[in-house]
Amino acid sequence: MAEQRQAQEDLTEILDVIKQRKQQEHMIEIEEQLIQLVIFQLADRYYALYGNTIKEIVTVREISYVPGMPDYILGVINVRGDIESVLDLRKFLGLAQSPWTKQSRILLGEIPHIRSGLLVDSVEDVLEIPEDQISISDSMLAAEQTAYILGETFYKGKELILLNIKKIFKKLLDE
Amino acid sequence: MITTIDVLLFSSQGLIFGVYTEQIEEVLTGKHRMNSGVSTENDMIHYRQQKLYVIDFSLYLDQKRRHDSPPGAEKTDPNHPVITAAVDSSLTSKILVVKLPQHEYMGIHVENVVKILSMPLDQIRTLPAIMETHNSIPGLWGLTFVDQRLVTLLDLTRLA
Repeated sequence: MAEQRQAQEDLTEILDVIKQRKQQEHMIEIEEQLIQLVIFQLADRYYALYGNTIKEIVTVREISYVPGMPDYILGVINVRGDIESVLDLRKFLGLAQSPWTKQSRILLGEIPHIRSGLLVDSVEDVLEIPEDQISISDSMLAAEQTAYILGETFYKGKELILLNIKKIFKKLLDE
Repeated sequence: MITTIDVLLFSSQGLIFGVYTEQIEEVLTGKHRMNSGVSTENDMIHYRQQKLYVIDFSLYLDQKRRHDSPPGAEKTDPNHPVITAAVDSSLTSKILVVKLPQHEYMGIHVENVVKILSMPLDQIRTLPAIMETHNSIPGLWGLTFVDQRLVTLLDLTRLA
């Protein structure tokens, strides 16, 4: 009789463990996938790039002009001995021109085999958001921009455009 | 062992360029060009009983800059205004006499020669990928910093 009771208790314990594991698995299944975004401004609008494509954010000290380049390639910067190109993201996306300010920053974007600085008006935030908060963009943006948009979400109550750095770099290499 | 190359630095439009010294046969004063009586973008001067074709490097750069602007784009960059002036022959300007293959020469009229130095090869970087694709100056092969100023390295024999 005692053995039977012990066997019953063991079985109950095993079932509890299985139940707990199933619950954990279920929790993992519904866990939100987070993505990191680097949020910045261009011409009073919010834009973002995936955080894993931004190697570094640097202040704008001096951009050395290199002759013979299209006007949206501003020149190069010296980052600890490495020479990095700098792309004027405003000009590239067909936005109104403006000289850089104290708030301007250079995002050092990197994907396999290509790296370049991207000049932006200011960097607002680096944060993680659930991936499902990114929706397909239905913004009324200029044709120069729509080709490079991955999606949109909201930041501080305003629209935020997520840009596709791979497409930006690919366009630059294909031209 | 660090390998070095001998480079002559010259200035034009406020920028510094570097060229292999072995490509330079001689450095003449800019007055040679003024004495020839012509002041157009590209012209000839007399050199060793021959006529030497001279490129005004400032106008050459200006031409490249304007050429690069896509149709309809702003022609001036607020951070880098376009300079449209030929090299002033009466000041400190120099004509670099460049050795070309088959014993030919070409002149490059520049604002000034800054200095000649031995440059370690490991300090020279090739053009970043994006720039390599868009570069419109033949012979632009590398970049480096000297005294915190950018030096654009040129192979002058490929310039014309």
